[in-house]
Amino acid sequence: MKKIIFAVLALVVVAGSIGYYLWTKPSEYISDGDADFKQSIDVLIKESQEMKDSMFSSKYNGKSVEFDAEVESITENGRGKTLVLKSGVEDFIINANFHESNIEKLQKIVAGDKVKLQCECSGVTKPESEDDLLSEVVLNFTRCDLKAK
Amino acid sequence: MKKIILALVSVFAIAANAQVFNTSTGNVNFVSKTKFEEFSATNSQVSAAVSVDKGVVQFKVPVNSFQFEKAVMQTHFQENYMESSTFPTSTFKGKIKDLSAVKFNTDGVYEVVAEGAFEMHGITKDISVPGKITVKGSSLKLNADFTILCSDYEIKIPKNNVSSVSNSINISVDCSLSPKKKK
Repeated sequence: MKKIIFAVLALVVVAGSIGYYLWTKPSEYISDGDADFKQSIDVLIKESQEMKDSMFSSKYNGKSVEFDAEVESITENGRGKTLVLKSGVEDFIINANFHESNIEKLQKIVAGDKVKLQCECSGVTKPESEDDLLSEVVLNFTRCDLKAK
Repeated sequence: MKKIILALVSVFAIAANAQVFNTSTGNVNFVSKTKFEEFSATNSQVSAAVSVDKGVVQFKVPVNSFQFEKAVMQTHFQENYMESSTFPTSTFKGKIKDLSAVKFNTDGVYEVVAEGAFEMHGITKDISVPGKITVKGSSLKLNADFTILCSDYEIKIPKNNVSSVSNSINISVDCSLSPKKKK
């Protein structure tokens, strides 16, 4: 009887520990592990422009993408930082956001640097009408990591 | 000579009035607080624009860009609550109610109210949001704090999560805008 009680208690402790770990698990960096896509930035831009929004989203949203790009500017926002990347296309903005816990890697990054990033794609937003004040197409990446400079 | 100066002043005044300020890296945070649990999320990829002459204000919030401390919350938020694959953005399009009170060419902090349509989770509601416009040099800062109810936007909180997720969500907006580059 004692053995059964001990086994049940052990099981409860293990299950509880796993549950607690899963609940409190911090958001992983998308750079943990291999990228789902290794894509040139030009292809990403072209696909975001030519594919239907829903198709682009289902292909890339939530997926990790590794790409090379040139830094246009660096914006501090909240406690994190965003690299605004050169698109070479008028009215097309690419934002790569770094979480506060991962920004020390950006200390030596300046505008004009060429970087290799691995980020989670969080989608593309487009103007809804011709008189839309938000007339730019914006391709957003979050939870970015600097893989190489 | 006077006429030329007047004409130039008018041209500059019109140009200044037609100005649009924008950003694609604005911040929106939200906090859910119940007796048992408090959590928050941050989004630093908010697009915002203000048209100075018409007082039009627009925000576009990519839902997938919200970041949580806990991975499980982020997944639940995107998949179960906001259904971000179906409703990828939240938007606000409105007007500054008391536009004449804001002197866009004079540094200062101006209390304003923006009225307009807020769309989230596929539901659009007319809302009125008090906020502040800070004019400093050639840039603008928009700040606002307001509360929305999940139930107003048909965001369903499962019964077993009612104690940890509040129906009432506090949202704060903090966006720094600069003059939109002319084409």
